[in-house]
Amino acid sequence: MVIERRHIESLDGARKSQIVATDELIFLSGIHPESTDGDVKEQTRSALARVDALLAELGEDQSAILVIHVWLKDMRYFGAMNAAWNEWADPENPPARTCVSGELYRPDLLVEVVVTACRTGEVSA
Amino acid sequence: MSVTKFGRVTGPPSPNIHLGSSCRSMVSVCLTPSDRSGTLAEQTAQVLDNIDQYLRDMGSSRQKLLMVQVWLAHIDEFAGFRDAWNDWIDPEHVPALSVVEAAAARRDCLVEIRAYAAPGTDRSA
Repeated sequence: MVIERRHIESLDGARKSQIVATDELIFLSGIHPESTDGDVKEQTRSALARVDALLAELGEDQSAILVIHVWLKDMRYFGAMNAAWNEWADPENPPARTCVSGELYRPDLLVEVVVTACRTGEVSA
Repeated sequence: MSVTKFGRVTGPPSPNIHLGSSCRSMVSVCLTPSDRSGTLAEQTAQVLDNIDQYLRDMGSSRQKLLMVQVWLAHIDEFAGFRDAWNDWIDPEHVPALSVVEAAAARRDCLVEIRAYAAPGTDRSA
C-alpha cells in the first residue's frame, strides 16, 4: 500500500504531516485556523476553509469526509462553531461529525478539527 | 471485510477490551502507559514503544503510520511529549498528528495515544 505524505510541518516543534493518504483513506492532522485573532466562529470558518484546501489538493471535497472531529476549547462555543459549520457544510450532504471539548495546545486556539476521509477519485500512480 | 482484534484485556478492574484491531485498510491501536511512575516524556516513550511492538505484531510498522491522536493530561507539558515524539517517529515517514488535553481514566496517566497505520500485507488478492 503506497502512503502519500504532504506538508511536513511542526506543531510547536513536533513533526507531523498535514496530509497522509493511502489509495483508500485520507487523514488530515489536527487543523487550526490561520489566525487566532478572531472569535470561535471566525476560527472555525478559517479551519474549515483549510480543510477544503487540503482535500482539494487530493482532488476531493467535503463529500469525501468519513468523519470530522471538532475539538472545542469550551463547549460554550458550540453555538458559534455551529454557525460557521452551517455556512460550510453541504446542506444536502453534511459530513458525519463529533464534537467534544479539550484544551488545545495553545491558549488562544479555540477550535481544532481532525478529518478522516476516503479517496473517491482515481489515485495517480 | 473482516476485522482482526488483538491485545485482549479482561477485567475487572480493567474494562473488557481489545487494545487494537485491523481490517484490510487500516490497523488501529490505542494505549496508555502501563508504568505510570515516570514523567510525560517517559510515559510517552513507553507508549510509543508499545505501539511499535503492536504494529509489528500486526505486520505493520512505524513507517506505515497514518494518523496519531494524542491526549495529554496537561497540555502545558506539551514539550515533554514533543521530545519523545520526535525521537520516535521515522523522519521519512511522518504521520498526521493531533494533540489535545483530555483526562484519561486514571489521574496518574499523563498520556493516551491512538495510532492508525496501514496494514502490512498487500491486499491485491
